Amino acid sequence: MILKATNVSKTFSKTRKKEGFSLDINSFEVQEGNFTAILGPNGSGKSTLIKLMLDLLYLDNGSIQLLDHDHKDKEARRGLSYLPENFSFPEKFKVRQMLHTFADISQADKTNLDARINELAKAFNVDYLDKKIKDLSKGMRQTVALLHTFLGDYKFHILDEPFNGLDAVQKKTIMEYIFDLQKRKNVAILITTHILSDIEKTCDKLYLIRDGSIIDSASKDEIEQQHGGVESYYLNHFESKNALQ
Amino acid sequence: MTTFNIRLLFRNKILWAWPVLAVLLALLVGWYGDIESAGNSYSFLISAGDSPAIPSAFLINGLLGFFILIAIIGIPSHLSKNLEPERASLIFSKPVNRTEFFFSEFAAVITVTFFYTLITDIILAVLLAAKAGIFPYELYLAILLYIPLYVFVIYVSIVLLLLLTGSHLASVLIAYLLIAPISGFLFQAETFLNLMGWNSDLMVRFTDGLSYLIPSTAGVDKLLAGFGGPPPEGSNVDVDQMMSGILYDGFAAFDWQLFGFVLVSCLPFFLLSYYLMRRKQF
Repeated sequence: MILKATNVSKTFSKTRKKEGFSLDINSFEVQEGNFTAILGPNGSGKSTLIKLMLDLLYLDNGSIQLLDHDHKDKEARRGLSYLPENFSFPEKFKVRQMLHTFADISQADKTNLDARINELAKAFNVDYLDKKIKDLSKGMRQTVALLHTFLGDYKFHILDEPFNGLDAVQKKTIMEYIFDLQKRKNVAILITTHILSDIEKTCDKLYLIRDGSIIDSASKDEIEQQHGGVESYYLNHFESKNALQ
Repeated sequence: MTTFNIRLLFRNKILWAWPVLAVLLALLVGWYGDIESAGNSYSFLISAGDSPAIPSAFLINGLLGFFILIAIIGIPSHLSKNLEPERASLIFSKPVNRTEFFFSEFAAVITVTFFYTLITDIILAVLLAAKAGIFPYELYLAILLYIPLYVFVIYVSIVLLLLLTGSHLASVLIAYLLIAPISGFLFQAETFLNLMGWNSDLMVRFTDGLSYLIPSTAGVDKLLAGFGGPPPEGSNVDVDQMMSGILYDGFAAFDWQLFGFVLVSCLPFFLLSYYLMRRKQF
């Protein structure tokens, strides 16, 4: 088991600037080698759930086991990489320097790091390793962030809205890389997105989340047999609920 | 994590002003000015162009104050960035916990401050050796101790304020314009209380206790107050009275008790910052 969250809850009180929000998840799992997706509208709690897994936010209740450790243990994070939805790399660093620096923080194996950077840059069509981060466009930054995420030899990759700002060609290239990586190394992927086509063909397990609760989950086979595809599965749940509301 | 912070600090352009100014000053004095030994092995008079000679104590104290100001304005910007959720999410999703993050922050700041201070020392040493033929090593050691210690003491306040306010500018301003003067007042509270006629036993004890709760920048000033030594011959400034300290008395007279007080006075803010850091969510 890569990840197991049980009876997880987190409440944000209402403030002057923000509405209150409550997340309550009874059970959430990611299996080894699986491609798991969390789908839901904006503000439904996808990123909050991920931040709880990584101990960026503290749980009010419940427990999370991550890569055979309690999620609070920093050792749990040694075997995973995370791409946040919003990120900020040091602007004055060149891309290659940034990748080296974050590899240091990850305490990853730095053998042949430059060779691996070059290999990944080739796979991601990155020819701006010697440019400063501040000189990159939104799409370039997103690609660099993905490059940073896949640089190490991790068992688990968590990607929060990974294709934001990427053009169709770049998105396809990176998706293909991820599928290939999953096949070759049997890594587990957890992805959040609200773009259904991103995960249509690849997803092994899918969770639907709304208002801080998981409203349904299904395997790829179940979705195909019962709904004919991810899009109709998603729309069946969210359109009907919206109509009721 | 310490390496990461050190790299960020070395890319901080505000901090570059420190060594650049030291070099410019050395060039100015080297080409247009002169340095005259004050008849001993450690103090000197300095002049540039037609300006009147300035006693070393004035120059050194002025420069150190300026370098410290650059340091405390420039240094916290990377911490402020690292505490933003967009950066913190990247850092804390790695095998880094909040305790390591907190201690590495101080380690990096002290390391970089020490490095820039060393550069300043080297520039000064070359200038004094070349122009005045003196090598006041105790002055260099004192500078090497003074700037990093002062920056550490005020940085303790800045970190706490940054964790409380989330604002780089506010934390620097409050630390420099409020916390440091308060520490100065508390350090000499008895004198002030006597002047105001509030010197009751209770008041003295209260201010005395309070002085252990605020990082004592005034303590650092007193600890290493100036490097002037006796007044140069012919000088009408009573440098000796204005400044006493390591150079005059030598390191043998180092006030360990005061040094201990300075460190103890940092503890409450330091521990409170650590507590807030442990509780911080991103």
